[in-house]
Amino acid sequence: MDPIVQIGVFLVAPYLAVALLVIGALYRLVQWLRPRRITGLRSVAIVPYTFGYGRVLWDLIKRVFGFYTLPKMEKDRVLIYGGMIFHYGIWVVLISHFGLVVPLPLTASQHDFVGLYIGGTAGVLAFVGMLILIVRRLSLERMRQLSNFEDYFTPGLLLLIMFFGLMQTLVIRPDYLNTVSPWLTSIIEFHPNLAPIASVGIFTILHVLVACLFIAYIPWGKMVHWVGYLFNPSVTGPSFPVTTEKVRPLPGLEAHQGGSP
Amino acid sequence: MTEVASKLVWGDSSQVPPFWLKPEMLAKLDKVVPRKKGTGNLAHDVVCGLKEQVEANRNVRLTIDACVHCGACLNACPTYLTTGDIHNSPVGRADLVRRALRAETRAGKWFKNLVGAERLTDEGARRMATYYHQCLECRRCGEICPFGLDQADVTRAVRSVFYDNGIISRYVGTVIESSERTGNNLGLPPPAIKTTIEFCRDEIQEEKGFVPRYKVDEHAYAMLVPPSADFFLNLETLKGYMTFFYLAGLDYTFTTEHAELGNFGLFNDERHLAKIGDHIVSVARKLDVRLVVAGECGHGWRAFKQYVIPRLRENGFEAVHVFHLVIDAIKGGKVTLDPSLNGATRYVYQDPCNYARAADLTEEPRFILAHVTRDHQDSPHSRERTWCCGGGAGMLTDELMPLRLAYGRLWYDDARSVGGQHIVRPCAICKAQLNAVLPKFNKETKDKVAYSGLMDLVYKALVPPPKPAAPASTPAVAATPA
Repeated sequence: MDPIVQIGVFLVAPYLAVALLVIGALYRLVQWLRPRRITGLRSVAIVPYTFGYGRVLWDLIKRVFGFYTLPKMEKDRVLIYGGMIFHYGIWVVLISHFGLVVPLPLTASQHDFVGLYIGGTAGVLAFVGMLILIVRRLSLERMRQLSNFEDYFTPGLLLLIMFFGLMQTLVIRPDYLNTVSPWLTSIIEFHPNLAPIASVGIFTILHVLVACLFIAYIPWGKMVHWVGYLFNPSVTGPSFPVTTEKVRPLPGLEAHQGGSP
Repeated sequence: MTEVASKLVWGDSSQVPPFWLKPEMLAKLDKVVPRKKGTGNLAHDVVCGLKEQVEANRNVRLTIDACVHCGACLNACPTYLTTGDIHNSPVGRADLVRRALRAETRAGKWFKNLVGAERLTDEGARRMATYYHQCLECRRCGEICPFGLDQADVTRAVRSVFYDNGIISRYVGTVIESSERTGNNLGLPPPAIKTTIEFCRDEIQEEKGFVPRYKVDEHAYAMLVPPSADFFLNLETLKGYMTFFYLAGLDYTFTTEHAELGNFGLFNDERHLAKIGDHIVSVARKLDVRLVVAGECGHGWRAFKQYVIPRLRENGFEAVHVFHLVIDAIKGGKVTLDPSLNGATRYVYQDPCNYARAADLTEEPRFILAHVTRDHQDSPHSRERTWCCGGGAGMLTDELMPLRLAYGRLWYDDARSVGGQHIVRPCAICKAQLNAVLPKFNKETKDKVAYSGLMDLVYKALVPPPKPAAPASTPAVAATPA
């Protein structure tokens, strides 16, 4: 591999991407936390009766894992199924990537098996889900009307990452335990070692390159959506607990009763 | 719905703007709450105002930032579903704002349309104003959005910006002015309110056989604040309050000084929302009451619960919705109800959007309805999925009738799909909208669907005691919300 490519893709790009991710995330956090008001009302909560933190937490869990708001209107099944297939798939894929750096009590063949069948299946699901969402965006007039460049750029980027990743996992099946794994560990430990990836194939290079581009882009565009709602007062409250505080009978009530016009 | 089709062009609702408030009326509002003065360049001032709103309000900032353009809200939004205009939708409206704001950023200046940036022009600003005044603020978009992004609250913020620039619906502006000048939206003078109450007292005597006690502008334990429409259009609702309070044995007073639960400041401008809301607190203090009771009104209850009740509590008062008291009275056996008095009609309950999606009042009315009717059921789209009546957020005006008819089709079809003969909507705006559009819908379908509030049905179902109620020796109503 050309040393410039090797240094650029496997050394500069990862650190640059993470730096941009951190800077962008901090920038966003400041932007989200700086506004102190919530359009003047004490509560702008949407979900009724979410007074306590327990209810809010349960609502968040349902949103993340159940997509529970979408089926309520029972119309756009393509969005529901496409969204669920993609997200469930991509979560498993992301978790699978931890296997590259976290020591697991698995043999190399078991590692390979899990990567191929679980990671591979999840990757295919995520890929298909994303394709469904892109086709929906392209085929429905209302979606074309509201879409701009970024609405195609983000899914396009993800599609590329998944394609390069799937090519490796399902077709090329490189010895990533002795190549990508030690390299990624060295990067995380801030002791970069580029030797293990000196001879990796083009799909690994492209996968890492596009993934770095995506990581750097996350806080600057619509990819903030998966963090944003944790800060959204419409979801997280505060909600004013009018029905939880009981109105006590006040002294003098009896004296007041029975008044005449 | 041929009438609708003849006036609305599918895919372009911009041809149906509201009438805008005239400068002389704006000047009257300015005397109460002075507007921010801009440079006179509409587009520039609007963009500056939008920036301020985004930087000041966290929910507005998040709603603008975190939308992924998934289009889920399009399937939920009554304004988009019935007009087919992408800009008359939550995501479409917000995009008008987003494009204008992005045009001010470096990325927007460099990449323009590539990053969805578009410099706002005066014409674009007026177009934005029209679309933002076609939003019902019903929050159905926020309910379906996976991230809970509530475009209705962005509507409120954007309308506030336009108000600063002298653009406000004539209807909304007139109502706000009337509310701040007279204490009620309709501008009813105190003698008219008293006469209406006396009229209802006589009707109750005739229909129920007793004279309900009440006070007007006097010290009492509780102060009832119904929407002013209940003194004008919804007299059965008013009779419901009066009969219930009397039979429950609660000492209460009406106030002519603030005979209004509705708060049109909610639709348009926070400063007026606060001004109108604070007036309730000052009247409660003046009459030295302990408890303030809200009547039937969806948006009024939202403003009351989320703004006025905290202010009341800061000042040592308590407050509830009248439904909380009714439930307490039913559970405590303080009142006797006979559901058969409301006949064998099939009642369909349709949640007012502000009860269900903004102010936690979905189960209480159902509890009451179950005790006052025999045949009752939910609309297919109920609770947080409920359809707005089509008159919310200041749409209740004649020039917007084509849109009101289009929007209203959704709940009408919903009610008929379950054989509903009588729609129950405990909200003054809903009732005013149904009063206007239901005859038109019924004429077209040759059906006879009726409507009412909930206290109307409570009134009919309340059974008078054998003899006049004696003063209770213990607190009659502990006012414990359900």
